[in-house]
Amino acid sequence: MITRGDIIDMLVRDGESLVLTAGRCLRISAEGTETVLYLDRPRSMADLEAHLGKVFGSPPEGAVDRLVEDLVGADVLQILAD
Amino acid sequence: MPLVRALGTSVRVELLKDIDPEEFAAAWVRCLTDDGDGATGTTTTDGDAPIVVGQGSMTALTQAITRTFIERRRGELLMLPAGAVCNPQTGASIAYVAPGGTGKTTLSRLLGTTFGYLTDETVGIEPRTWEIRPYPKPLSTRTPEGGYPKSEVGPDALGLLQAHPHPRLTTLALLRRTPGRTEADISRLDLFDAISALVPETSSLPAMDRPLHLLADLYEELGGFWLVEFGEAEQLKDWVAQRLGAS
Repeated sequence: MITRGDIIDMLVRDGESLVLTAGRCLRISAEGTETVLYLDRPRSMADLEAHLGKVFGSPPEGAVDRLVEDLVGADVLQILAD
Repeated sequence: MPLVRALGTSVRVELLKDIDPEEFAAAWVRCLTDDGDGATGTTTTDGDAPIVVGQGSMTALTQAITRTFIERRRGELLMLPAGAVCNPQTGASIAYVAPGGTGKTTLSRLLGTTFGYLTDETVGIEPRTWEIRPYPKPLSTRTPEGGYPKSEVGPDALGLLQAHPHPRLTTLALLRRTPGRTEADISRLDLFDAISALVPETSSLPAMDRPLHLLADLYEELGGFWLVEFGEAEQLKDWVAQRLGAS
């Protein structure tokens, strides 16, 4: 399951966002922004892929994995132990 | 024990033998709020003010006082690492954000002879009203050889003007100094670029309530933030005068 990390604040404008964590301020793409907004509670990777598919159309193979990996690496998302 | 007032709060300073009380009083002349007895005076107000012990150099003491002030207002004021001056008649103010050692003090010394001196280091801004809580501290000046140790000189000794009693932020600029640049280039920043540039400079920002929204509100209120690329402080005088309605 995936959910948001420790986000201090998130500012959304025109679909994109700035996210402030304890470490830094990140500018996030529309896909990343939608991901963070959707993960306001723990959800599965399959649910996330389905949601992004509905909003943006089917993503290229592996794109959602890479997006999640990047956002986890930036502490914007966290993966919860099962 | 002198009471130093700035950023809308106070700290007491206990002067040990390394610090000359008269030198301290001259340097902190615009922040001292005692009973009229100068740096050796005592006060009965603000009993909660923390105590900073003044020892070592004046520069080290200034840094300690600044850290204490910042910690005291953390989470209450939007505090930016910036110099600031105001129009002494109207209170319209400009804050110029820059990393340490890249021109804030030099610009404050220059602009402060025409506009009211607010600070050369830390600007404290009240959320929503955008009123500035001045910190007219002494200015750190290098020795004539341009090196260390620095000395601390009070704004009166430098001929800097008094500020308006109720300064309000009307212009926010991010300074980028490139020595040798022959003329300034001034442009308005996109909202996200502006906030992204400000956040790393502002260590106390995460302590504010919804800090990114606060900066976005300020951006909207001011009609944007400015990126000011320049070589020498003189290049900015006319632009600042225009922004403060004094040209």
